[in-house]
Amino acid sequence: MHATSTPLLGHGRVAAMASMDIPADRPAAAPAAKLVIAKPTYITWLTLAFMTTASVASLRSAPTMAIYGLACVFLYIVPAIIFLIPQALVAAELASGWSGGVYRWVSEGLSAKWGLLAVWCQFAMTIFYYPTLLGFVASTLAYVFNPDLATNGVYTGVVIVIVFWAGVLMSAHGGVGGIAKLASSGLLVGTLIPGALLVILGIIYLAQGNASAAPMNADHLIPQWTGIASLVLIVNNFLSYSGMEMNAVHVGSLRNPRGEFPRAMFFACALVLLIFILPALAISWVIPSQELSLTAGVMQAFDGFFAYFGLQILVPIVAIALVCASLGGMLTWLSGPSKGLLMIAQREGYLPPYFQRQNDHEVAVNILVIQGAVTTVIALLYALIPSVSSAYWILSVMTTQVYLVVYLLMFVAARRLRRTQPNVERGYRAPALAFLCVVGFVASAAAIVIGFVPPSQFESGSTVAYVAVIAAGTGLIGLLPPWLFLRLRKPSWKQAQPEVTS
Amino acid sequence: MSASTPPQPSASGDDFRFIYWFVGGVLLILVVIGLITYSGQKDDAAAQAKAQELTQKFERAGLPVPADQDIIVKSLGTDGGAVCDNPANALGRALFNSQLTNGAAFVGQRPVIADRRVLVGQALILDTYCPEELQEFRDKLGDYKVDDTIEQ
Repeated sequence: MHATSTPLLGHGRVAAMASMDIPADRPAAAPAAKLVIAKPTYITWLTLAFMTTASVASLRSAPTMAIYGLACVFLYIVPAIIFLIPQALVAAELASGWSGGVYRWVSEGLSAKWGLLAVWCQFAMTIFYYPTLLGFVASTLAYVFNPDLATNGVYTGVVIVIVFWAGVLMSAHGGVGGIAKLASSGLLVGTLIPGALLVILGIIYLAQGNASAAPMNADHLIPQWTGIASLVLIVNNFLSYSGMEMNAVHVGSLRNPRGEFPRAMFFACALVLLIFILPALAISWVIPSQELSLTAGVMQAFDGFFAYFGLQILVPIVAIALVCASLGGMLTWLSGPSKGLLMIAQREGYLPPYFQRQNDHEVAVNILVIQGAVTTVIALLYALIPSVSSAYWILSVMTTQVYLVVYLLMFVAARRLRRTQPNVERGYRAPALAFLCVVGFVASAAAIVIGFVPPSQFESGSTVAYVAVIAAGTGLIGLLPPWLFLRLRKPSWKQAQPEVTS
Repeated sequence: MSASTPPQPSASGDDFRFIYWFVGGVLLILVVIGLITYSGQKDDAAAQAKAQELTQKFERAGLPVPADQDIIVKSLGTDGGAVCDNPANALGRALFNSQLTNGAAFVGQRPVIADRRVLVGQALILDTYCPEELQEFRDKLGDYKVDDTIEQ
């Protein structure tokens, strides 16, 4: 790609073109007319902020963190300073200068091969993420309809397949505008409203003169230090903010990306912090941590919470709302990374034309379908076979390791772009970018190192074996496929324009 | 630069509107079904006795208890509700594992080293409401590596 003065093109239809070798200082209107797709894909900065928030935050984690009481504030704020702020500011600068998301930033800053690695790592990890989300949906629905259903494999399998493929279908037919609308609605209905309700009820609980179930004094602000277990807890919480950069792939759908993307990013950061911290605190005020049953899932916590107020009628409503939020988040993850993979595949010819095929909503349908098939198999194994559900968590460590590679590359690319392309107009320039990149890089590297410490789920076996498994799996998932893409690619696979199919 | 082409009506606007309303309709139906099927737990003398028993076990184990015992009564009832529905089966185990994680809600979710007392609390609930499930729970989930990460 060329170093140009205006690499960021501001329209969704033109964004696809920006990923090709077309000088970006050429007037946008002329080449835009060549494109087959003529659908408006404008979204507002607020919608993008909601999409970003929906991709990262939900109330699902509130009971998990409520067990730490006041220390959950520390566990969210410290990673926010060390990881969220560098990530958000750097992504805001990059997205306000270059369209296309992480593949484009890394391609411009390092090389197209590194760009492929970055976008593959972002894409691959989502395949292994969906099973937990789908398992959560199945158990939540069972909780309100009939808890016995959770023991029924057929029920679990049917819910997983229907919910996931409905999401794929909506992603394929919704386009950016449609996904944005559904994800925003999911966030509002499934996270913001129930979250506000939890916080208000929690405040009422304290205002009634009740003592908080979890101590709320300064002694409990910092988690108990027990050595490696505490370090694992704190450093792994950096990953709570994973994905803030993912929706930058849609930056071309903003009318004024340079000004609007940073605004969307900052607003999303504030929302994410509020959603993570306040509801978790509210639950910890009412329910003692040891009473938050682990096998009954998140709904048990909400059930106990609402029981105190005599509002258990809200349990099924909140359950469906949580499902809404999960599905909204899933839609953003279905549409974002696949779009980035498609863009670099078209530009560099890394994937056969079959995988580059788009429908008339600019969605890489064949990539989505293949991804869906793999995800379905993993999700069914995860929810139906007990031994798989334990092994799955080892797999989840591998995939989060792979995702952290994206951040390493992003921070290096951002630093290099400041040096190699200083004249590219950026709508937002992050203050002390070099410092932010160093902090973000070190935080990401620390999280990778901590990933090699066996968690609770690794019931037995040697640490050496665990480290070997994680290292091998990370290489297998993150490095092998992009290496194969590079080895097998053909010049004829490059596409000057997206191949459109209906 | 920003494209000069003004937004045009979407050809698929009607299609998408249909998806949007369809999804909304399905979710509304699920809410209605949930309101009909979900009844919470029984709040009777037996439930009160079980809650009292659990509270005493928590106190003996040095664990905090809720300010209002009704929280236990209404969420666990007499039979433990969802907590006792085969906690060691595949989905129960998956849920259990997904709770022993960091604070991420989406792709950053990653397992951690859990606090010992949380597992103790879980075992006490099973011991009180469905002791027949306790041994299987201990066999399958009781060997997890734990530590004291929660400040008491």
